[in-house]
Amino acid sequence: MTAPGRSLWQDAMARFRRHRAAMASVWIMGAITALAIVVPEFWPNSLDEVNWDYLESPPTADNYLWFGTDVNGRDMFSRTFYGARISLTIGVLTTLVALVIGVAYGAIAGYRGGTPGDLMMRVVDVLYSLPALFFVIILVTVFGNSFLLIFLCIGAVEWLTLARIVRGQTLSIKEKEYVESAMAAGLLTPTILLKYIIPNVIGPVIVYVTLLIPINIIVESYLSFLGLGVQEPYTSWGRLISQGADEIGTAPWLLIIPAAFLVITLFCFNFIGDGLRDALDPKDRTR
Amino acid sequence: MLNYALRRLLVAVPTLFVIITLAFFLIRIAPGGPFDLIPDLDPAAAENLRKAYDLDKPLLEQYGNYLWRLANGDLGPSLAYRDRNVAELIAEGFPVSAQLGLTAMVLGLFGGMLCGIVAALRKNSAVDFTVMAIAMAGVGIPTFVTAPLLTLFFGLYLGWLPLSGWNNGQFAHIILPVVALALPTLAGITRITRGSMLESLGADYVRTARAKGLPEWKVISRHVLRPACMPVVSYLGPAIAGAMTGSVVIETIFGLPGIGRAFVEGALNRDYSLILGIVIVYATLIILLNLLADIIYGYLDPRVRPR
Amino acid sequence: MSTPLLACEDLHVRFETHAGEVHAVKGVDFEVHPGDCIGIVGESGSGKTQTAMALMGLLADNAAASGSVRFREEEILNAPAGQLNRIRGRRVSMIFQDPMASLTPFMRIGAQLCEVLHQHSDMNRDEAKARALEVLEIVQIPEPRRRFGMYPHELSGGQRQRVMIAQALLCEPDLLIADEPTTALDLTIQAQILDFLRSLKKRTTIVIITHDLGVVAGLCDTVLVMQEGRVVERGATETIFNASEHPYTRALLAALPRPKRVQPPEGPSIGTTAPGKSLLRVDDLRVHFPTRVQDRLRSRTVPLKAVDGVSFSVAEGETVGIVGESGCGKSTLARAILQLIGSTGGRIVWQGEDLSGLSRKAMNERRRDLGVVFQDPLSSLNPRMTIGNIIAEPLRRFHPELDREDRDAAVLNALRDVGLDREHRDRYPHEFSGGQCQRVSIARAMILKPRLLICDEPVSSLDASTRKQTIGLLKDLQKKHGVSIIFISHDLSVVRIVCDRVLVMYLGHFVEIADRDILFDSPAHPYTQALISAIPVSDLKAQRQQERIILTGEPPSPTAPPSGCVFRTRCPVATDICSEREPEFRTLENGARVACHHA
Repeated sequence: MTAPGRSLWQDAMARFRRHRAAMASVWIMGAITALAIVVPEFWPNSLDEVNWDYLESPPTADNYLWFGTDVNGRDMFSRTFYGARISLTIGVLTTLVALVIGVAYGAIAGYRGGTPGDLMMRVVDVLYSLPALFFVIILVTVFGNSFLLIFLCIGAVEWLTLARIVRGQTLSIKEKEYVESAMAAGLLTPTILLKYIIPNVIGPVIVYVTLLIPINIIVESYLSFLGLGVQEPYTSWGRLISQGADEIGTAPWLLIIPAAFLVITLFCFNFIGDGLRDALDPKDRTR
Repeated sequence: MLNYALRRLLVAVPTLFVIITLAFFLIRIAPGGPFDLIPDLDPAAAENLRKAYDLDKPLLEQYGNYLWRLANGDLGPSLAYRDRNVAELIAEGFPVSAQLGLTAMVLGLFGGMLCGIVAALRKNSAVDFTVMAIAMAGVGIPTFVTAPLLTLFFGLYLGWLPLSGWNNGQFAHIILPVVALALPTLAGITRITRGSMLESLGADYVRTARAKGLPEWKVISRHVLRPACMPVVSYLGPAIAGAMTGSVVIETIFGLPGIGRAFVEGALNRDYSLILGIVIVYATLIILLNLLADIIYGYLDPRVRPR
Repeated sequence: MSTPLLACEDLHVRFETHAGEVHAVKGVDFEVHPGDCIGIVGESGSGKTQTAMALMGLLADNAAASGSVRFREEEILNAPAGQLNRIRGRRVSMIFQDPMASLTPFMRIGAQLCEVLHQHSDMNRDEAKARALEVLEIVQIPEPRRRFGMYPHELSGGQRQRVMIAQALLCEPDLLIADEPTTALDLTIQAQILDFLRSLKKRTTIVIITHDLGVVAGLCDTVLVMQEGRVVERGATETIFNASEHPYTRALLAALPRPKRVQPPEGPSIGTTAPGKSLLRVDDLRVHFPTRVQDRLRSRTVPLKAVDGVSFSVAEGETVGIVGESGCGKSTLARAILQLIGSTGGRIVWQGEDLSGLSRKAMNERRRDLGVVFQDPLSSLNPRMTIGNIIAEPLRRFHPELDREDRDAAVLNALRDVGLDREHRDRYPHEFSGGQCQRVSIARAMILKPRLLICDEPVSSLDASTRKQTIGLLKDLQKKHGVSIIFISHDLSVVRIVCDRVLVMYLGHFVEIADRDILFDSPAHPYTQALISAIPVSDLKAQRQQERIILTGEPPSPTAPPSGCVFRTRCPVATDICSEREPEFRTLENGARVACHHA
């Protein structure tokens, strides 16, 4: 007992690093993100340039058409990583929107408690029982499908679970004896919130946020798939998959390549989420 | 129990009202109208159309009119298919969606529970790992990826099943859509069942049941299965909502004439009354099904059963 | 000697865990003969429960047992389930510790009882029901017919444990194994169940597993003491209690309270100085919580009267004990005094001013003189802060003028005061044991040198030896700083060591207030008498001679307290007047104050 103590955060980091699937996922996601940044800027074939000699060509080493071309002869390599850029950006930004709304709403409902808190959660319950996508579809139809609106809409709908988590955590932590001790010691409310409640709420929120990113990527893909998402010439994975699905008989790579990237991304985020959950909330935490 | 159901129904009415109001105003505050998409429509004709569909009245009056007609069971005329009304369109599509959704839910629920139970009882065996790997894939991969892939493999590559179409719900035609729609539910329920089975197997009262000298199958069937079902029942609400979302995509991909596809088309055509009508149908269904799930939950667990 | 009913030879239990193999039971031998009543005693982690589970083939999946267990000459260790099931539930039955968790929550009591009979006999439905009702009568459950159709959560804790016992007795087993049968129960209920188990000795052979030597003293003929997976001492109960040889057994015995009329072990009580002037006065304090009761389509709100009109005072330097069973309102009282919960009525006069009338801000200023220590040591400390920061927190709040060095010095001082080292300062709560965490809580509560320290069950979740040290620490700190203490506990033996004056609480009311020695030597209220007679003591003779008062029934709900005297529904001496008039406090000749018509 001579080494300095390790905080729960340090413990969690160490545990996360031992989680192999999660660490591998971090590296893979790093690589995909890097390509999404680099490829659209520097790749010899741009995303809307038509290669007349290569209409609906399967993947080939010629002319850097490594992922083949679509019906219009556009380079799929470039389009896939441009799609990655859009999908990932929407995934992250919508999650941020959801995070802000969800945490604020949940924390207020939880810390305030009582009848107003219950009422706030009844609203969430009602919204929760509706399929979120329907509202996104209505919102997108109504306000037109600009990039900004898409992520505002998705974020505005996907905050519900986050609000529930934050409220549940806040309520249970408020009942903890250490918060009672802090109140009994005369500490002021801002101190209690900052030092006692928020640091203990944040763990499950981080875990859920990593799981919300892939959910939001899927939601955007749904929209694009249905023709309600980003519009030509821009593209996202959902839109590429939708176009690929139409050509499935003649050019399966148009479906398989973007679908593979989407699925890999979803799995990576899920593994990272699992890793964080194990790291932040280990059930068999040794005393 | 009857009282409880009645009370929940009483709460459902204002909930539905809120949803209708929200959807109504959301759609109406939008810039542009349903007739903007008609090519070469001259302004006078557009004005006439607006008049014919009451769209020229003040918003609140439209809202009042809509509610009044709704109370009389009239969902109004469709704005895009001008000779049809919304109720007819929904009545046409609903049986298709219901058959698809119901079959998929039954498959997902029972298939998932079966897989979960088997995986839990054979914990850490090859069976367990295989089932859980498939379940993980099923949860992770969205329907709009699995559906084209299934078509590619079973329809095009093997040629066993038709690629699309409904054909009056003929068995061969509904296999692929049902499987594609059921897969995420099935996978989710498998994971939940396995987890809750394992938790339930470790409970103190299961030890008591063993100490009573009951054979293992009786221990499982009487003391383990029922609590293991409870998380599944509470997952049913989100699963139903998920399946409804999924059915929109599935109907679009397989070209099935259900209300999901009608909803997407309505959204693309800005057919306000159709969208609103379908939202009302879906919301009612979801509220009723959630109520059913809650009642089943109360039946399974006497501790939450209201006296 | 007759052939043993059960013979256990060289039993080992090993667990495969992530942290490697854990050897929980290391070669245990014992024999049980028909008619025996054997106690297996040890602290948590001694392997006593795992021994019992291994006997019956109920170990967890990751455990492996080796050695030999014979039931009537038949080897049953690691036997196939089919063979075990001919014995389990029929010839050997078990009772488990936590009856709420050990009964299947969604099956009716009747169904859980009858399935045992259907399994082990060819009774039909009616015969099985008749037999089940007969056994429910035997275990003295009120209204057995009604209980038969109820679910476990609709019964009280004591009734649930009676159902467990009934379930075990259904097939008239040769051997009954009871694993901590009374630990999860309140003191008076514990006394009821022990009394019943004593009456069972004539019917069957019993093995009792417990951490509590007091349970063994009143019940068993033979005792096995286990420590770290081994039997360290065994013998007749008299020998173990009067002439034990093993130091571990003696340590366990030493942790038990002494019988009456013996001075408390640690010399004179804490506040030997004459009581100073009054520090805190509580006047007719009431704390009611509105609770919703569902009733058909409407829900009504009824008050839950957690604290219903209590008055007492605390003088400077005094230690006041508040005792009562769980749910009597003692913790609510503590929180109300600290203004963590608002009160419904009455006054809390602290150094001449009424705390309940203060603004939040003004109340916060008063908190520097009020320290508090809660029950659960780990959850009392913020897991994200270092021990040093936790202790320094009140300093930061009330002495912002201190610089870092002064604060560090004060923290180190506080750590030393509670017997922790300076290197503990930078560690986190999860790295500490329960006892150490409780020391940190005490250090935090004491760092501002408060005038009153409120301790809510501060030692209840600690092992016997740690408990003793922690009490010693509190006493030392009081001697050093002269702080007054309100000590809340359900455990009379602890209160007896610590307190000058004792307040007995029942269902939101005080029933007796008296100086410690007077209360323990001549309790006046029937409830106090019952509580004191239920305390297990280390002197076997005293234990067995002690006259026991077994209360019937269980405390009523605080949402519907009885009219008149709240205790009358369980009182052995209650008469008509008790239901008509609420008893007033009267002062007896020896100075004790008691609220009873008959005391």
